[in-house]
Amino acid sequence: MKKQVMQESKIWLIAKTVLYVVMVLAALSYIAMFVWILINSFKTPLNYMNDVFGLPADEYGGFDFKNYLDVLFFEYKEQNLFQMLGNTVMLILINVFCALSFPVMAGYVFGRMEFKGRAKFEAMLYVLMTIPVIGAAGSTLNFLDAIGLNNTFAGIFIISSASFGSGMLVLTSLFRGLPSSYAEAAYIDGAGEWQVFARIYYPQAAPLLSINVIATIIGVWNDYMTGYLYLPDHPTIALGLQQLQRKAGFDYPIMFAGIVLTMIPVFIVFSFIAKRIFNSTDLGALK
Amino acid sequence: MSNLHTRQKGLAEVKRKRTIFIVLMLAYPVLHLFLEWYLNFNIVNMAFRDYSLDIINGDFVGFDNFEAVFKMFDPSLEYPEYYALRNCLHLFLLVVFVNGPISLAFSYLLFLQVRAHKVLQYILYIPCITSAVVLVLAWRSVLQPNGPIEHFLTMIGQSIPYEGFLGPNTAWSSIIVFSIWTGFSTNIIYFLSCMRRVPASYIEAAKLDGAGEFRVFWSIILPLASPTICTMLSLGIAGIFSWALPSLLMIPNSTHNGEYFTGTMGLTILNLTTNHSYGLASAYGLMLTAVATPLMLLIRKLANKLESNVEY
Repeated sequence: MKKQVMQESKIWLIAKTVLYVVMVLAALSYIAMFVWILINSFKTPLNYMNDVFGLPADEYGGFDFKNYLDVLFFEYKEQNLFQMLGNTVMLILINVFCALSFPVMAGYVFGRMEFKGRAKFEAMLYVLMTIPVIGAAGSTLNFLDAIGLNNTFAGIFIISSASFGSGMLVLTSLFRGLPSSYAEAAYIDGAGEWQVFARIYYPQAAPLLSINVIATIIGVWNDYMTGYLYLPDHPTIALGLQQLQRKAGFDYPIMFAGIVLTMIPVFIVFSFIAKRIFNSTDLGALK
Repeated sequence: MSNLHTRQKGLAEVKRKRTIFIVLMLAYPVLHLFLEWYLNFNIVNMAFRDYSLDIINGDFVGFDNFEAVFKMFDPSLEYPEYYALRNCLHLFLLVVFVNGPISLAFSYLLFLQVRAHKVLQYILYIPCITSAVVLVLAWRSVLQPNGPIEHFLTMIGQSIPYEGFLGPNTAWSSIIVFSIWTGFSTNIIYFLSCMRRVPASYIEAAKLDGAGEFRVFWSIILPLASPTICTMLSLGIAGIFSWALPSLLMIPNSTHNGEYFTGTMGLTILNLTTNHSYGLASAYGLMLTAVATPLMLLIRKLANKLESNVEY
């Protein structure tokens, strides 16, 4: 019996070591990729073609910031980088507004109040979230075309508020779990429904919402599909980057400079919530 | 006016105000719920229409779209759609048998607090916060002719496929490797937080009984994490049906995915949609929905069953 246990632990030890090495290699590959991109973003095209691994060499002019300048003057559909940045920021603002408003409003009412028709709405939401409808983008585009909002930010607003379902469920359970005593005290002091919601309960959701907001910012910044499908004439950063690659062709260093520029804000924003994400134990409770 | 009367009036007033409050708070969300219903289930209507002439309302064409979708699978075509089906099956195997187990194993190692686990956990999260465009472009440039991978292989004396890594015979394998490389990242954070919710007393007790790390994983962690695993699995499988981005971005012109055999069913629907062939896209989507829905319900049922067995 003991021998068997010993043997098992020996095999596990080997497996664990192998897995650990693979995991470290995977982690290193991500770092290596970004370091490689960063270094090569300072090379001239010729330098990159002749030497893909080394540092920018002096005979080609050493560290060259021209790639970054080229990216700053890159244009796609007559929009330059700053306009693309503006489009992306606009999308972020719309999505953050949606994340902070509709799911909280619906979640509050569903979590703390009784009203007629509640079961029906819940059933509708359940059906919507259970059936994974595939290929509905055409139907959405068709609808936006019909009301004349295709390719506009107003259309994006309508699409962005679509995702309130799952956010709402989490907030519903959050508001349901909060004690009613706060509200009762406020009602006695003469506070109305709006004050109770805005002053007492909304702030309780702030920690959760702050994570949602940052996740939204990163998600929208990285998102390609929304811009590709619904906003082709107002290219976002992600769309611009893809076009930059097409335009640059074999001039890879320019594209690398574009990648570096787009990644910097992500790492800055992510560093604010990284600790919160990794220390939370309630993420797995999404089921 | 009696006191009672005032109170009743006050109550009615409170009730009226509450009703107004609820109506205003729910107005937009409920309106949107109806809109989402319309947008999702309108594909049933659109699947029977052709939008090439009347781009808003379409013309009724019966089952023509469904027939056309079936014809796309005809093996005598130059680039038949069954490659997309084959690729989706590959992705299914990848999600279930490669990325799932890898992310579970990595999560458990991080849970065991192996050396440098804190740093590793941050680094392994990088693909989640990186734009898919960036990841694909980086992968593409690494694989380019005369790129670092080719240099590296030449250095260690390996041969390079004559068409490179992004040719018709190699591109799909490159995309598969890409999907492994970036695919296990998202799950780790969920698995890890799920493992951390396992009460320490369970693990302590098992260790006292002589259970090793693997035994603890197999007999305690795995059963307790099974609902989360099921949920992540169902999300992964649902994702396969609309999986398109890596192929879309990896091949220079997305309509060439047929020639590179890198198409997926999600990409076909996407290309049909951007070409305004809404009828075909809806018919294809509707058929996939009919396959995906029972599959999802089954996994969800399994997850619920596992969860009712698991209480801690």
